[in-house]
Amino acid sequence: MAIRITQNQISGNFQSDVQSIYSKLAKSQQQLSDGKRISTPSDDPFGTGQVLGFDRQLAEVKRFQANVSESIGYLGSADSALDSVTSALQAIREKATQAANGTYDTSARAAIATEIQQLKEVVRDGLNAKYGDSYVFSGTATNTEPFPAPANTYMGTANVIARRVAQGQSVSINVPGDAIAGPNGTNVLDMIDQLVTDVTAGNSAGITTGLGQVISFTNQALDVRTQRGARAARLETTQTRLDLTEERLTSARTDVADVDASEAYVKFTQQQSMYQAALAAGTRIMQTSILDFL
Amino acid sequence: MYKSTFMGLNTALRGVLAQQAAMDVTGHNISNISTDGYTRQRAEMTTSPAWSNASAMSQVTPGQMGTGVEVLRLERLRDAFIDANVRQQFGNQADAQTMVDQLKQVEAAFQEPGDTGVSALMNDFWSKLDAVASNPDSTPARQAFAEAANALANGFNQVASDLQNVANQSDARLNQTVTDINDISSRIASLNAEIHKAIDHGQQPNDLLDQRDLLMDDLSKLVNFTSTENAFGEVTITFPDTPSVAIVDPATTGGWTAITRANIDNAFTTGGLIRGQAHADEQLYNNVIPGYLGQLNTLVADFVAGVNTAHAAGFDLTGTAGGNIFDPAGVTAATIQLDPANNIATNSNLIAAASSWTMPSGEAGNGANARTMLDTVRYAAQVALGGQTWDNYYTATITAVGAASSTAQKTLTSADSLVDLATARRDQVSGVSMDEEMSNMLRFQNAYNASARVMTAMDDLLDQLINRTGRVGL
Repeated sequence: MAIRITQNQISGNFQSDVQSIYSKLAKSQQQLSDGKRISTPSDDPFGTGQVLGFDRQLAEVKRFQANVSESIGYLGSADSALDSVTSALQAIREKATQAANGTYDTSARAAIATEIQQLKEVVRDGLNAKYGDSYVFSGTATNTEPFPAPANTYMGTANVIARRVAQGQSVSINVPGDAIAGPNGTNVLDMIDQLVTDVTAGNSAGITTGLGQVISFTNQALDVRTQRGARAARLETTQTRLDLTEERLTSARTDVADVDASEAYVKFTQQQSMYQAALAAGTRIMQTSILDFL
Repeated sequence: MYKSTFMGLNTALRGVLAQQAAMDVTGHNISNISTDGYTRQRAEMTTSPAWSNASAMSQVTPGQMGTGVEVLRLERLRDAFIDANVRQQFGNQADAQTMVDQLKQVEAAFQEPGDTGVSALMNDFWSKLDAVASNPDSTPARQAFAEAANALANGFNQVASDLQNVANQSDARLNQTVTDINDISSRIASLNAEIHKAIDHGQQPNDLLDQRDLLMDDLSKLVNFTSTENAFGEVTITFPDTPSVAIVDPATTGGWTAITRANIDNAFTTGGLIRGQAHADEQLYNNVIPGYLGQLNTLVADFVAGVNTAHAAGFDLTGTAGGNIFDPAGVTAATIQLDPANNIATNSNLIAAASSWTMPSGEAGNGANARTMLDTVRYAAQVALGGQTWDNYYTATITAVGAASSTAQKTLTSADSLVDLATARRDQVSGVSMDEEMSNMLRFQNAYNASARVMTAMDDLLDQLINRTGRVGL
C-alpha cells in the first residue's frame, strides 16, 4: 500500500519547515544587525573560550601600554631634573676653578662662595623634582622629599619603582637619590658645603680636591641620564611592539567573535530564498484538494 | 419451501442503511479533520448472514441466498506500536526542549562574552590592580581598584543568584508536574471506567479511546511510563519508580493512585525516570546547575584564599602588614564580598601594594607586592583547580556551559525531526485525508443510490405481482 499522506501532515510539515527556516533567518538577521557571530557561549563554545582569552590579553596589553607611556613621561621629567643638576654642577665647577686661581681676595672668594651656595640649592631642587605628586629621586618613598633643606641627608629608600611592560617583566624607571648624590655624609650636597668652606678659606688644595669631586659627580649624573635615555628609547620600542600586539589581538578577536559581513549576507539571502520557496510551495499545495474538482 | 416475497426489499434496505452508516462515519471523519488526537474511523461492512434452508425435506436451493450487507463495527484505525514510538519521541523532545530553555537561561546568567560577565570584571580587577602597582601612592587608583574588587564580588553573587533562580524554576516546575500527572491519571481512570461500560454494552467507544490516547500523549511529555490494556479496554499505567507505582490501575478503588514529588525524585535517582520534562528538570536541578555552581564555588574559594594570602604578604600605605581583600568566610560565589573587617572600599590605604616598608619615610611608591600578584599569583597553577589558573578555570567553565547548551540544541533539533517522523507515521495510519473521505463519500453515495434503485425495482416487481397479476378478465 502506498503511503497515505493527509492534509494535516502536509500542513504540519509545512509549519515545522517554515518555522525552522524562519528561526535560521532570524539568527542570520540578528548576526547581521549586531555584527556578532558569538552572542552566547553556545553559538561557538570553543570560540567563546578564545574570545575570553583575547579579552584578557587585550586588557593586559592596554595596561602595559598605559604603563609604558606613563613611564616615558616619568623618564622625561627625571631627565630634565638631572639636566638642571648637571648644569648647576657645571656652573659650580666654573666658579670653583675661578676661586682656585688664587688671585681673588677674601671678599671676592666670599662672593663666589655665596654663588656656589645658591647653586647647591639648584642641585637640591633638581634632586627634589616631582612627577605629578611623587618625588622622582626618593626611591619608593615617593611621598617623602629626598633631600629636605637644610640638612643634606637622603630621606628616601634604596628601592626602585618599576612598572609592568609584559607579564612577569617590569622595568625600573627611577634611580634612588643616593645612587646619584652619593652616600649620606659624603654626598654631592656635603661636597658642595665643603667646597664653600674651602673657597671661603682660600684652601686651594681643598678646592682642587673639590673640583675633582664635582667632575666625578657630574659624570655620575650624566651616566644616569644616558642610562635613562637608553631606557626611554627601549620603552618606545616596547610601545611599538605593544601597539602591534594590540592590533593583532583585536583582529584575531574579530575573526572569532564577529560576523564576516559578506559571508553572512550571502547566507541570509540564501535563507531568504529558501523561505520564499517554502512559502510558495506550501501555500500552493495546501490550497489544492479534491474539492476543487468535484 | 420458498423464500419470502419481500426478501429482496430487505436486502436493498440493508444496503441503504449500511451505505448511510458509512456516509455518517465519513461525515464524522471530515468534521474532525482538525481535532487533536482524532483517529479516523471506518465502517467495516460484511455480508449479512445468508439465508438457506437446510431441511432434508426441502427442495434443494442453489447455495445460500445472500441477504445483503451489514455494518459489522466502526473500526478505529490506530496502531499501538506507533503510539509507543510517538510517545517515546514526545518524551525525548520535551526533555530536550526543557534542557535547551533552561540552559539558555544558564548562559544568560553568565553574561558571557560581554562587559558585565565575571570574565570582564576579573580583567578589570587585575587592570585596576596594575594601575595601583604603577602608582601605589595614588588614592584614585586605589579607590578604583577597591571598586573593581567589589564589582567582581557582586558579579559572582549575581551569577550565583541567577543560577539558583534557574534551579528553583526547575524545582517549582517539578512540583507542578506532580499535580499535572495526578490530574492526567484521574482523567484516564474515569475514561477507563466509561470505556469498560461501553464495551460491556457491546459498543465501540472510539472517541473515548481517542481522548484517552491524547491524555497518554500528554503524560509522555512529562515522564516515561509503561502501559498495558486489558480485555475490557482499560489501560494500566505504571510509573517507573522503584518499587513501581501503578498510577492508573482499574483494579484499585477509584482506578488511580496519586504520586508525590518523592516518587519522581526517587525514580530519577534509581534510574527509572529517563525521559520527559520531569527528567530534564531533575537533571538540571540535581546535577547540571549544582555542577556549575560547584565549579564557581571552587573557583571563588581558591581565588579568595589565594588573593588574600598574596595581599597579606605586602604592606599597606600606613606600613602595616596587609589584611584580607575578600572576606575569608565568604568562600562561595553567593557569599564572596570585601572583608568587612578590613574594608578597602572605605579605606583604600589598606590596599597592600608595597613589598617592604622602610622607615622612617615609608615606601608609598612601592608597588612590588601588587606586581607579584599580577605576574605570579594570577598566573599560578592552582592545585585546587586541577593545575589551571583562575582565568583558565573560569574560561573552561564557560566553554562547558556553551558546549552543554549547544549539544542540547542539537539534541532538540534531532528530537524535533524524530517527533515529526513518528507523528507522520501515525498520521499515515490514523489521520483523516480529505481526498480519501471525499472519494469514499462519492462511493457510498452511489452505492446508496443504487440500493435505493434496487428497492424501487423490487417495488415495481411487487406492484406487478399485487396489482396486475390474476386480474385476467377484470
